[in-house]
Amino acid sequence: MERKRCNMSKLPSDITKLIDARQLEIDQTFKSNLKNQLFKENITMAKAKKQSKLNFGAPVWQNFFKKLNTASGLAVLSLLVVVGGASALISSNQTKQNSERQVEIPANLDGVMAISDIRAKALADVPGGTITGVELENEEGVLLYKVKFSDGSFRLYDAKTGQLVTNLNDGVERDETVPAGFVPGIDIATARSIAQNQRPGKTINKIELETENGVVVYSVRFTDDGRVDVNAKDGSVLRVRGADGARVGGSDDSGDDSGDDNSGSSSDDSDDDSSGRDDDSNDDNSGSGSDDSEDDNSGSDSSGSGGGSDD
Amino acid sequence: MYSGGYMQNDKLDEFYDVYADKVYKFFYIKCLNRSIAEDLTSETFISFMDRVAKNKIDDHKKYLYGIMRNTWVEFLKQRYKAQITDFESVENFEEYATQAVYDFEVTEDPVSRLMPYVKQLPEKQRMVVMMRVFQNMSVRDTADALEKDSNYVKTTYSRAIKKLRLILEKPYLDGKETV
Repeated sequence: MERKRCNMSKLPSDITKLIDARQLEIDQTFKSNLKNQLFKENITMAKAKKQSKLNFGAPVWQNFFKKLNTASGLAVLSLLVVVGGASALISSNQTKQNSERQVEIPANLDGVMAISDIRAKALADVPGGTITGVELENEEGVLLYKVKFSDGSFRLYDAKTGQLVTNLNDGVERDETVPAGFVPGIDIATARSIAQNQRPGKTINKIELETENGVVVYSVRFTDDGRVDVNAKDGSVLRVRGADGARVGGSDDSGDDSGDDNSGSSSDDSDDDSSGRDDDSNDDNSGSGSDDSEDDNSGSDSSGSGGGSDD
Repeated sequence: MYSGGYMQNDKLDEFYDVYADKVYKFFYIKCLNRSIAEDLTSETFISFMDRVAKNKIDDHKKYLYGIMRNTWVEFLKQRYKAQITDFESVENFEEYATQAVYDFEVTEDPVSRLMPYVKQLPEKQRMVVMMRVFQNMSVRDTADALEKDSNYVKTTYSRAIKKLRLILEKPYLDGKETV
């Protein structure tokens, strides 16, 4: 169905000007939701990123449609469908696919180093270190191994070249230790396909070698928070968890997915220690452009201007 | 919960109430997109609260603005890293990226800008506005679609405009406020 272009010129100019002015105002619902999250729910950056699913490369429609989870959003959706917005729905699925590809662990893992090789490298880099887990992740299209140590630190390696990406120490994770010298019975690509068979059509975004209740498993995580644990020795499926967290057969356990919070390679904390202090940017009084006047479109685009804001 | 720094929790509460608006406005002016501005505002405050808990901070406003600016620069880098090969100068980079924002469709499409207000119209007025404006239909086509005559469409449309003016005079509440 051909989608006609919106024609704002049919609206009187005072209306369009008012709309522009309103856009500068914060949405009160958004403001109070964020306040709840900050002050009551103690939201962390990783949790927020998961919720937001903001993919900076995606077209704007994706952000618009993320709001369809709210009740008012569903009303909007029904309006759009009535007026013939079906093509908009199709495009939102497309952008969802694009963003999934950014985090998905692909089925083809040729060229990816074996876990045992990465472990050896990490141990060579950190003599005397005890490895508690190894994860395979997709960060912005780059496959990385995250090797976790018993003191809570971790190292990131390029999964194909084995080159160290960073050795951030961010957060503390307490996994059961995978025994040193453990040799998996199946490789990571096999584990991946076993897990995928359990949840066809769902997108895998992380594979972790870890110990669950004394059994070494490949824990395969999905973008919808689903999870499949595959026994690393014999490939048997030990646990399948669907998108709503419901267990689908398998053994019961008290494990949770909070270990995902410390992915470490996002921009939040790595070199933010300079914020608020003198650093590369030209002046300290950043934050120009935000003051109380309604029509402040002074466009403080350059980094130098420090005025305008008040207490 | 947050015991760091010199600001107690209730003061942080007030601080947030005042500065959430300013931070949002800063991001909106930069990117002209409400969704993105909201996400960046969230990121800024989450990062800020996290650090307030861990560090002693002398000047909360300055600290917050520092994080805000970093968040904006990181957003630009994320978004335009395919196009930009060197980030050596923050100033030049921001200039480039500010220009690039208009090239890369960050700005909202008109439908999503208008929708929160149109949602608040009574059903008949809403239908007419959506057909005439969003779908760019003629008066005739709109009348046919609604099985009414042209006069009905014109009258309903002008009533809708009057109502929109009233709606737009109220603070932005994402469609919750009813006239």
